[in-house]
Amino acid sequence: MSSSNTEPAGNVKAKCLPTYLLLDTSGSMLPFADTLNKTLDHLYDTVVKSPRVSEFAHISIISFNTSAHVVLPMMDIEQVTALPEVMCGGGTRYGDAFSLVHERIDVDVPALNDAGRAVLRPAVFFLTDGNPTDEEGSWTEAYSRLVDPTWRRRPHVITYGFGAANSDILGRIATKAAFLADEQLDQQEALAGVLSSMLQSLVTSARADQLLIPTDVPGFISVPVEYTD
Amino acid sequence: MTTMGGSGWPLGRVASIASLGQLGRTIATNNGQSDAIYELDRHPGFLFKQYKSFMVAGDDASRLDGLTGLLDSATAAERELLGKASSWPRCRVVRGNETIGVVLPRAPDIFKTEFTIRSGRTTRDYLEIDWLAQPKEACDRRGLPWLSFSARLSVVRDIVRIAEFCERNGVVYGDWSYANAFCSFNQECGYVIDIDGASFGPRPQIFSHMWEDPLAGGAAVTVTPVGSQQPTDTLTDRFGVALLAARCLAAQRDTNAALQSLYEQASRHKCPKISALVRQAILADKRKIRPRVATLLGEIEQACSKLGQTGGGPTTQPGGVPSQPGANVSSWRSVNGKIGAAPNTGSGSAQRRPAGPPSAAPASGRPNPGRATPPTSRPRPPVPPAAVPVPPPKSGPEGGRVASAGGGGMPPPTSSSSGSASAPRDISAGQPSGGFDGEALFDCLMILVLLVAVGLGVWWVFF
Repeated sequence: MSSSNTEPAGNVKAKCLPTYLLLDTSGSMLPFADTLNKTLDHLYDTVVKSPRVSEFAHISIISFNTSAHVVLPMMDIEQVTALPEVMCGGGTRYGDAFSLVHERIDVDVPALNDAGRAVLRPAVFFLTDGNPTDEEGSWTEAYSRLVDPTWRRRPHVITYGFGAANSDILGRIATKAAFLADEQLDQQEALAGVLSSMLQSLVTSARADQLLIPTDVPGFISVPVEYTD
Repeated sequence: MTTMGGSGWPLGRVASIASLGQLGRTIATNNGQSDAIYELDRHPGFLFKQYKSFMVAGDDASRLDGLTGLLDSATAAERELLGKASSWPRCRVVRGNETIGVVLPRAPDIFKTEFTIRSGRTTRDYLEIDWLAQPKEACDRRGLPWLSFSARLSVVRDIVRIAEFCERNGVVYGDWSYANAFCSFNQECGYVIDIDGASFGPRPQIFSHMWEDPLAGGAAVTVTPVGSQQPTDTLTDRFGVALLAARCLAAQRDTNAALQSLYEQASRHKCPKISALVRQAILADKRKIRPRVATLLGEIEQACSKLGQTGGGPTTQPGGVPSQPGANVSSWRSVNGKIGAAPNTGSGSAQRRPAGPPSAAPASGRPNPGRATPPTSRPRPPVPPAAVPVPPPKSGPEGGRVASAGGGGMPPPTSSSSGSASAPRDISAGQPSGGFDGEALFDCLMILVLLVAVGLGVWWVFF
């Protein structure tokens, strides 16, 4: 048998999508804490059942209120042994969230590269139920740094709002798609719908090996996106 | 009505959407070419897959009619195979003259399994075939059995049987990957889905990372560029199904490691031709010399009858103790039932170190007493000559499973997810070296008998 001199077929770097879930855990989210935790469970349960999804989408969860925190570092979800039980309180400082995810991307992407993965542009799923409580200039500056076109690792941003979230702001933050929950919809259901939508994105993206975003989310209206990359 | 055997669909090969009756529960949305997949309340066991309108091409009607028509021209045995091992489309669905979707059988429940998820709880869902290509530790974490080589062979046989039917009938499947097949660890069988996208003759290539045909279009390239319009044909399918077989038989996702492991296991199980044919299909530098799927199937069928079809395996207790700090976290919920108290909470940049819950501890590899064992006492059959020379493949620079190593600055996972040295071994089939299995016992006995015979001979000569 003759063999090719090239790399054995199918033996290329596995692609991986660094996925950040930015969760608003401010005081106004308190009524939704239970739903939030349950839907995180569901997200985990679904992803771990499919190796191709869990290998493709490495997920990190960042919560933000008065400050921002990494509650689940970027890792293969198969290696996760505990899920955070998030609690809510405090303000809604967008700026800290954007700064922290910027910081984490600079750590996580090289680490994934070092691990032999072909790393795709990160995806940030931003979930909020309110307006920023930090000053306009403060959070917009952090946001601009995050999506700076000259930064090679700038992420795609998809925003989901419900409750008192502002559609204009959601549209300003998103680079790919923005969704606002229908006011008529039960907001607990809306929250569950957000994570289902994100999950569907990951499953579909894993199949296509590239980020695919839903064009519509049941119970949500699509918000025009101001900045697109 | 039954979903098995290709019969049981009452409405013919073309049906109007109205004739399907009320659409039932939506089981998937916005998935690939389909807008949604619905249950059919009036026809239990069947699903209606509604295509995105912009995805329906002009020639889809004749293509789908050709596929469904094969059910009518197939022999009874073939129909039974298509029913048991594939979601072969049953009928094209139209609204007026427009093709809007297809009716497919729902995969039987035997392809669902219990997954251990969090805190020992279980959930039931379809078992995707890439679990066959997972290391033992990953299966242990989800409470899945670890299959013997012969059981894997049985699962792969079903997949290859469908591939062979396609090849024989000029059907190009074109999308062999983990995403398109289920398996049953208990029944040791496989099931191919998404056949409605198959075509007769070459079709545009479906880009599927890690599954690209390196020789698509005749050029020896390592990676087919995204968006390439190189056609996919039966020769591409030979590559794809061989790659899937190699990974599933060897429980390895990395191609080098899979070929190496398959070579060792197939040799040990006296079916080296399977390894040789798979290797030729994957590594050949000319598409034309890729062996026919029928040839591979023949060897697999022969090996299955020789080895029997046994399987099953141990479940391993979940491992790992989390201790991830994090603000806005009141406690931690174990995903494996072994969690302790809430870890310390960190916030702000000072706590933004890349630390988190430690990786799962390596699961114990104890064998299951109920597990099938290889034949230990029967004489070994003669070794069939290999079709082609089969040197052990070299491990390349990406020979390990570094692809699934944890990232994000995390310490390397303690479970064996990297490095070919930690590759799982089918313990029912023995270890490549140093293992003590039935064949080793046979060898020992033969040596003992030989020594006794020599001793007796010496005694006879001198005394």
